[in-house]
Amino acid sequence: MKRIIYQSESGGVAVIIPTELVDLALKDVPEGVPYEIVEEADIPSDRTFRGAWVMGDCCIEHDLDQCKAIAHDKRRAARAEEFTPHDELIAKQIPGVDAAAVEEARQAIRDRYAAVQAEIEAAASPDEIKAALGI
Amino acid sequence: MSTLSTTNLKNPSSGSNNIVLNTDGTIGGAALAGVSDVTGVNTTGTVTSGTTSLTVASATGITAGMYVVGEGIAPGTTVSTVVGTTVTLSANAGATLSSDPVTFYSASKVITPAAVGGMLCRAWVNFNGTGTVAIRASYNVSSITDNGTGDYTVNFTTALADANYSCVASSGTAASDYRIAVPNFNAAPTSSACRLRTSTPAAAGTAADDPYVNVAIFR
Repeated sequence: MKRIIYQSESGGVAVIIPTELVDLALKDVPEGVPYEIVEEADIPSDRTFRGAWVMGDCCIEHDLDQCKAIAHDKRRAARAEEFTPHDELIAKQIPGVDAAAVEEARQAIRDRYAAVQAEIEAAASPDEIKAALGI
Repeated sequence: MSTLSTTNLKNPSSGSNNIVLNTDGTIGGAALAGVSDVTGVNTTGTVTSGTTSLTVASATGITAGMYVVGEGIAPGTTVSTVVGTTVTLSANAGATLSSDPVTFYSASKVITPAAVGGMLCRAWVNFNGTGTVAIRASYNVSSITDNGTGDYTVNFTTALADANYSCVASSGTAASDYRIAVPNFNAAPTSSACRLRTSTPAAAGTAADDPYVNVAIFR
């Protein structure tokens, strides 16, 4: 199956998936926008960094800076999720809770994700960024 | 409970709007559909995309004015003329058929699929929004546009009369969290397309790709 790709208004890549004939789907390209017809296999199947896709010379490529921005969002979300139970213990001031131990656990999370942050920044490819995220 | 025993109901002001009660208990009469009307005239046809000349295997029972249902044939397409086995459609076929199924329905009988179904769902699509995005099945949809994570546009083969339709969407995943799909009104719907967004409420509405995305358009 063929696909139609074009640069979206936001600077990313829009991919048109025709129901049947690609010719019938050409009307779905915004008027006046340049497009390319490519093979389905030319479209990345890994959508981890979908928001970082850009039109390259011959195919879809990844904007590494945008990949890192997406990765940092994922890192922050994961860190917040791990923080939540510890934050609640501190916020609720439950008697008998070892606040020092809770803070130690929070610091361990901070340290771990600081290392992830550094790995993401040092990464040279989307695959390396995924490795830093552990996905 | 009393029983009205009669064979014919008629509005006194009307000379033709009769409801005939058949001896077998079914309802007949000119205005109401019988089983054959609901089933339609089923045959196979051959037509080239972008043309109106449809050659059918058998034209028996096909008359001008009937609605035509078949792959690539736009909703609301009717029979203009029938000459031999050549049926002229009121609109160009959207796909090439080669001895593929086509069905013809009465345009005048009440409760035929053409009369009722044609006024309900105008377009629908079921697609996989993960990995290699792919359409599983659809009706009156020329394509979907993958705009980004959880961000899709459904493009109609035949445009609707206007943009005042109802867009109903749902999405699901095998993962344990819930997903939602809603029309994306940041991009105003048009008569030819509707944009939607799939997301995960558990993560504050973060856009997410889902393996099962369904969209139906009613007007």
